[in-house]
Amino acid sequence: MTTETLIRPADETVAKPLLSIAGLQVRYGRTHAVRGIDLDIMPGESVAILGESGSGKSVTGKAVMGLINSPGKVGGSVEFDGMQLVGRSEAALRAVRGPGIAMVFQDSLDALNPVFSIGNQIIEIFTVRLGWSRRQARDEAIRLMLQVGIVNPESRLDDYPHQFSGGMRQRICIAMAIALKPRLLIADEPTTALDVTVQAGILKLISQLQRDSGMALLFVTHDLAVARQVARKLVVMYAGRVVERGPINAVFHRTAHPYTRALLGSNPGSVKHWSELKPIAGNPPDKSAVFTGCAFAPRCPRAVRMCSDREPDFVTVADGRQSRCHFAQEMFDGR
Amino acid sequence: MATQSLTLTPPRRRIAADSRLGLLLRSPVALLSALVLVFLLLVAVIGAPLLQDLANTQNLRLRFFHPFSLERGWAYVLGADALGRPMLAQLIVGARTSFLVAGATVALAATIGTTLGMVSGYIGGVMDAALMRISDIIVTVPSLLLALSVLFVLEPSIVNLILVLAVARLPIYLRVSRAQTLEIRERVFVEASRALGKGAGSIIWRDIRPLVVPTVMTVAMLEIASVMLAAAGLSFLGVGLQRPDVDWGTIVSEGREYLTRAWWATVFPGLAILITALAANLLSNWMRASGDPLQAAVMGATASREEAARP
Amino acid sequence: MAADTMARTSVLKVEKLTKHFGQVTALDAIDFEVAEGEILAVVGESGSGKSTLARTILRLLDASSGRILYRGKDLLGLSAGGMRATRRHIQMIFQDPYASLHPRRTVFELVSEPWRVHASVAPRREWPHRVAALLEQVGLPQSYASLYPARLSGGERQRVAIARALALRPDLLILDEPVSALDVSIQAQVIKLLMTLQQEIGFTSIFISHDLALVRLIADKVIVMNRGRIVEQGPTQAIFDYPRDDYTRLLLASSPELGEETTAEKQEA
Ligand SMILES: Nc1ncnc2c1ncn2[C@@H]1O[C@H](COP(=O)(O)OP(=O)(O)OP(=O)(O)O)[C@@H](O)[C@H]1O
Ligand SMILES: Nc1ncnc2c1ncn2[C@@H]1O[C@H](COP(=O)(O)OP(=O)(O)OP(=O)(O)O)[C@@H](O)[C@H]1O
Ligand code: SF4
Ligand SMILES: [Mg+2]
Ligand SMILES: [Mg+2]
Repeated sequence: MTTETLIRPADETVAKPLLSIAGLQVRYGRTHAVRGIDLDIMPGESVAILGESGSGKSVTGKAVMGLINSPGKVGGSVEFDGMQLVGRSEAALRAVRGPGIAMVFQDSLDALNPVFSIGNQIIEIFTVRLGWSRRQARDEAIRLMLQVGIVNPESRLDDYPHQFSGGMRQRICIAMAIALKPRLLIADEPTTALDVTVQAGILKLISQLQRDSGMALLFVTHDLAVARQVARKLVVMYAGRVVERGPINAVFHRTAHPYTRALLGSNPGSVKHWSELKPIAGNPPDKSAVFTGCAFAPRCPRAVRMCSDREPDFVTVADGRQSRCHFAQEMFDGR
Repeated sequence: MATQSLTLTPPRRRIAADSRLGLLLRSPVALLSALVLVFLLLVAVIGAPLLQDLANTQNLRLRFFHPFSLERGWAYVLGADALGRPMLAQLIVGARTSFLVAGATVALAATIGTTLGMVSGYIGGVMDAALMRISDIIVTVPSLLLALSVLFVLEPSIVNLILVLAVARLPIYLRVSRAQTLEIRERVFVEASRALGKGAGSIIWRDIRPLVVPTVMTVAMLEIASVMLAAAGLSFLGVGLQRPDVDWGTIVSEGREYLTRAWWATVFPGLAILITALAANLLSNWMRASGDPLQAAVMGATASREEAARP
Repeated sequence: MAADTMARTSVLKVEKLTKHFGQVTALDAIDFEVAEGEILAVVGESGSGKSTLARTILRLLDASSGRILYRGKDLLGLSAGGMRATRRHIQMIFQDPYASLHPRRTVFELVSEPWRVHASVAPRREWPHRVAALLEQVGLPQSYASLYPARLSGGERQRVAIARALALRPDLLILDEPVSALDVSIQAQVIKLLMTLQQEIGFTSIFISHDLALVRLIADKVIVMNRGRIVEQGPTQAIFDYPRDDYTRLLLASSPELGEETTAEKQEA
C-alpha cells in the first residue's frame, strides 16, 4: 500500500505492550461505568472487547483516548508506549491522539461535521496537524479515500456527509482515523448501525488495514460473530469489569466463564432452532450498585452462596487464558 | 389475579407534576419569578375591587403629590397623578385589567391557534394552505396597525381589545403548533397509532396534543408580557381603554404628558409592566428547559443520563 | 412447498404490488402468499424496500398499484373506516422500540390503548386484569404498568410493544426488524418470547430482518428482496442450502457466523 512504513524500535516486539491498562475506573457521579479494567495490547495485536449494552465498552475506549469529560472521573492507569495518559494535560494528550491512538466512533453520522465537505474534513487533518500545503493534503486525502474503498474519490471530495450512505460515512471515519498512521486504532462498534453486506465490507477493510500497516486494534462490539472476523484476542466485559480473556477462538471453543457461555448461548448463529436459544436470565446490573461479590451472581446459573459474598479473582485456566469466576477451572475443564 | 389487578389501577399524572414542582423549588430564579407573578396576581384579584373607587378619586390639592411619603396614607405612598389620584391604588386596579386582558387574549389565541395548528399540520391539504396564507397576512400587517384600525372603527372596550389582540397573536400559536405537529406526525409512534386503527381526531388529541402543549405553554408565558406591552401601546395611542377602565398602559400614557414634572406617574406603571414581563420571561425560559428531559436531568431531576437521552 | 401451502388457507396474498416514491421504485411488482400459522421472513439489505412493503400492506403508505388480499378481501379497495376496522386483525411491531412508544404514556396506557380504539374488544373494567395478563405473558413485572417508556431498557420496551400488538389478538402480525435495535443478548429473549407466543396463540407472521442467522432459526419461508424486487423465494431450508440467486449468495456470504472459519483464522493460516 503506502511507501512510507512506520519505523519502530526493534525491541518493542519482544514483550513490551503498546497499551497497558491497569485498574482503570470511570465514574459519573454514582454511576460506576468502568470498575477496574486490566488489559494489555501488544504492538500490531488485534483485541476485541465484547459486552452487552451499558457494560462500559465505549467509556473504556474514550478513557484510553483521554476523552472523558467532567463530571466523569477517571482512576487507575493507562500507559501508552510507556507514557502514563491518566492525568495528562490536554495538550500532551492531543499529541498522542492521531499519530498514537485514533478512534472510530459508534455513530458515524455524529462524528462528521455536517456543514463541511468530506474533503475539507480530511484535508484539514494534514494541514492543521502536519502543516502540509493544501495541494499535498488533497492528494493524500484522495489516496486515503481510495484506500478505504471510495470509488472516484476526486469527484466525491466536495460532497457533504449527508450525501454519503451510512457505510460510506463509516469508511470516511475510518480514513480520518488512520490518516496520521496511528499505532493503535480503537473502533467502537463501527458496524452496528450497518446492514450485513456493508458490514462485511467494513470488517474486511479494518482487518486489511490492520494487517498491512501493522497497527494494533481495539475493536468494541456486542456481537461475538463480528468480533471473530477481526480480532485474535478477546476480552469479555460485564458490569464494568473484565470477566474473561484469551485468544478469541480458544475462548469460543471452550469458555471458562458462565457469562461468556451465556452470551454464546444467546447468539442465533450458535444454534439450529430457536427453542435452543438460551437468553441470559434477569436484567443487566444497576450501574450505581456496589457489589460485594461477583456482579454476575444474580443471573448466573452456576452461582452459589460464596459468589455473592466474595468477588472472584482472575484464575489462569490455561496459557494466556484467564477468567474471573470461582469455578473458572471447573468451567474450563467442562465440569 | 385479584390482588394483581388492584395494583394495576391506571396511574395518575400527579407523579410528573410533583417532580416538576420539585424542580421549580430548586431553581431560585424561576421560583422568584413565579412568586412575583403569583403575588401580583393575588394583589390584583383581591385588591382591585376594594380600591376601585379610591383609584378614581380625584383630589386636585394632591396633584403631583410626591412619592415615598406616608402623610396621606399608604394609598399615596407612590405619589399621585395630575388629577391627584393615588398611584398605588391605580396600579393595583390597573393590574387586574392588565392581567385580565393579557390572560384572556393569550388563552383565546393559544386555544384557537393551537387547535388549528395541530389540525392543519396533521391533515395538511387545502385547509393547511389556506390557514397558512391567512396567518401570513396577519403577520405581514403589523399587529399594532391592525388593532389600531379595528379599534378605531369599533368601540374600544375590554372585550373588543381582547378579540383584536387575540386575532393579532393567533399566528404565533398556529405556526409553533403546526411546525411541531409536522415533526411529530412523522414519528414512529404516530405511525404505530395509525396501524392500531386510530383516526385523525384521536391521534391529534391523544398523541400530538400532549407533546405540543408544553411548548405552547412556554410561548404563552412569553406572550403574556408582549400582549401587556401591546395593550399598553394601544392605550398610549389612545385607542386602548378609556376611564374608568384602566390598565398599566393607560396609566403610562396619561403620565407621559407630565413626565418632567412627575416622573413617578410613568415610571411606576412602567416598572410594573417591566417586572411582570421579566418574571414571565424568566419563568418561560425555565419552563422550556425543564420540559426538555435532557435539560431537566442536568437541572437535577432524578432521571439518569441514559433515560434522558432517549426521545 | 406448493402442496403445503395449498392445504392451508391463505391469510395474505399480495399480487403485483408496486410502490413509487417519485422516481424511486421502492416496490416492484411484489407477489407472495402467506398461509395460516406460517412465518414468512423478508430479508434484504438496507433500502431494499422491506419496511415499505410492511407499511404498504397496512396501508400506512398508499400503494401505487397491485392487490393485497387479506383473507380474500382486497385491502386497497376498503374505505378508510373499513381499513381502520380491519387493522384490528393485522398488527405491526416496529423496528425501533425507542421511537414506537409514546413518551408521555405509561405502560398501562400504552398496552390498553388498542382497546380505546376498538372498544368492542374489551370493556373498560376489564382493562386492569387484561393488561396484567398481557404483561405476564410478555414477562414484564406488574409494577411496570405505571412506568413511562423512558425508564425501560430497549428489550423491555419491545416487550411492551409486543404486549400492545397482542392486545387485539391479531390474526396477522407484521414484525419490522423487531430485534435489530437490540443487543445480541437481549435479542434472544425477545425472539424466544415471540416464538413461544406464536406457538401458543398461532398467529401468522411476516418477519422482516436482515439477520440471516436469525431468519434461519424461525422462518418457514423466506423472501429475498433487492432493490424493490423479490429475487428469490422459497422454504427456508432450500434458500439457505441451495441459494439460486447471486444476490442471495452475497447476503449469505456477508453474514458473520460463529460456525465458519473466521478472517482472523484465515490470516493465521
Ligand atoms: N457522559 C456520561 N455521563 C453519565 N453516564 C455515562 C456517560 N457515558 C456513559 N455513561 C454510563 O456508563 C455506562 C457504560 O456506558 P458505555 O457507553 O460504555 O456502554 P457500552 O458498553 O458502550 O454500551 P453500548 O453497547 O450501548 O454502546 C452506562 O451505564 C452509561 O449510562
Ligand atoms: N417516505 C419516503 N419517501 C421517499 N423515499 C422513500 C420513503 N420511504 C422509503 N423510501 C425509499 O424506498 C426505498 C426502500 O426503503 P425501505 O425503508 O423500505 O427499505 P428497508 O428495506 O426497510 O431498509 P432498512 O433495512 O434500512 O430498514 C429506499 O430507497 C428509500 O430511500
Ligand atoms: S463467580 Fe459465581 S456467580 Fe460469578 S460467574 Fe462464577 S459461578 Fe457465576
Ligand atoms: Mg458503546
Ligand atoms: Mg426498514
